Amino acid sequence: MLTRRGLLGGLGAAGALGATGLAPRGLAARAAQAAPLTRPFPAYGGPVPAIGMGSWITFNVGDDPGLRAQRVEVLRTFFERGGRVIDSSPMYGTSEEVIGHCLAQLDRREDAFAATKVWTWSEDEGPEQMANSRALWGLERFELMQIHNLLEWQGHLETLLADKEAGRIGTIGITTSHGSRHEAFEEIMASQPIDAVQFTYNILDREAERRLLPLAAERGLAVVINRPFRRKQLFRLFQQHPLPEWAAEIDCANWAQFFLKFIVSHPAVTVAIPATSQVAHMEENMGALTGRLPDAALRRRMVDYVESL
Amino acid sequence: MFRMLPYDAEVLLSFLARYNEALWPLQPLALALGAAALLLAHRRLAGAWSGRLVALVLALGWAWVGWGFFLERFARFDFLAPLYGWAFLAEAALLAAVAALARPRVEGSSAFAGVGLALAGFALVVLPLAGPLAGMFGAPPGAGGWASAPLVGLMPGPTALFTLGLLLRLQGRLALPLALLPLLWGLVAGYHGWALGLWHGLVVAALSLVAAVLLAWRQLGEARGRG
Repeated sequence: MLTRRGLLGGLGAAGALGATGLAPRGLAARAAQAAPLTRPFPAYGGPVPAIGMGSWITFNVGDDPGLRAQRVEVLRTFFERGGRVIDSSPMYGTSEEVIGHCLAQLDRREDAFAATKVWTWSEDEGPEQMANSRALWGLERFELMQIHNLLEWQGHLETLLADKEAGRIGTIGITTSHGSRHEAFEEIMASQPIDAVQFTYNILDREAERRLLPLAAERGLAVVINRPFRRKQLFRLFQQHPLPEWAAEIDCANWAQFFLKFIVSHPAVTVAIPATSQVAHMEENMGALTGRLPDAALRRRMVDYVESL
Repeated sequence: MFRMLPYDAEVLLSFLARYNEALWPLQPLALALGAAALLLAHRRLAGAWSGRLVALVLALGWAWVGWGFFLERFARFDFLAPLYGWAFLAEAALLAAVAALARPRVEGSSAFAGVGLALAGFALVVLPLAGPLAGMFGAPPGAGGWASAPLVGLMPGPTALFTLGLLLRLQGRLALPLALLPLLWGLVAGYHGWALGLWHGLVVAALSLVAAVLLAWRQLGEARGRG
């Protein structure tokens, strides 16, 4: 298990973790990677690709056949480029329904690491909402079921523990986003029988480095990272600037890969889940699954560079 | 800033187009009812029952948007839609109660009433035409085309602005409280317009604020007159 001490050491070493766990200090940082980057997802029992897909806004397209067909292509690209982890929520409008449609069209239900959330104030409504999610995705089981924004978390956690026992879900997680409720989040991470956490972390929002990421490592929790691009804001801020020349040292061909490699090179991070509605952007995102990753020194340089722009 | 809208402009315009398609041929009826309310609110055509009929037509529009737009359809896309839907139904109930119990009367020939008529006419005629016409003349997208044209009584933005305009035509102290929810929706529409890059929402917000300020000004003047 990755420990807090190991994590701190790991930050000094390479971010390039394969399915085997921590790489020895200094070896992995600039080593070329032939295979797509995977990370262990402890309670799941196997590795997952380090770049997944979120669905906030992007898959909420309703019944429009043209928009649905576009999303099918986005998801096709995702799978073809080695992706598996797909994250959604009942809060995201028709996203779960559209994801289910796309998975059926592509016949890739078995390949997806399906992650969604329970999102209701009522503990009693949780089971019905999750059964509805299973129906919308066309699945009998979610690999990861998360309590959305800690809403009614005590009640839902009991339900999820029973669901895990019954095999309806593989692992249990909690989520927060845009830096809210970190204190309560930490408390649950430290004290409750959960398997995964989801929160915001990106090259500008690095608050999670202080406590959440080390604590997740110490507790052996999988870490799912949302808002990796700050909802497109990072592109608006930086894409008019050139990538630094040394970005080639970590095989970054574009800003998306620069931002994503910064995230997944943190040793405690399991998977980042950028959302997109465009095939070209999905191609760019999935490019972060291959090539070299930055070590601690280069991560610092990446931060310094964007902060200097 | 965290954007609370779980959809983008393309999806919203697609939804509006499919909504219009599903409702056809209700659009001519909605336009006819809106035009009738506008005529009833005109001083020269107003009769003893005009105020009540105007309030009833408005109540019908708010009820349809609350139920048929938000609760029945848009709730699939936006988790806040049920909240909006119930707010629209509450406004419908208020307008129906005013029509039944308060005997609202059409305003005379004040400047406020003139602006009100212009705002209502703008919501009924110009808002649905503006987007498609702007698109025909090469303007960047921002309000959709003919298929997604926003109509009074069927969609929230024009309904709220139309209501605020007609409230400026009605006499009495009830106009101001009745304007609260339409004004709030105007502000929500402005946020939507800003977040999605749809200038239609910004126009509704700006004109709603103008109407609300005029209503408050008129009420203040009436209170001073009584004092």
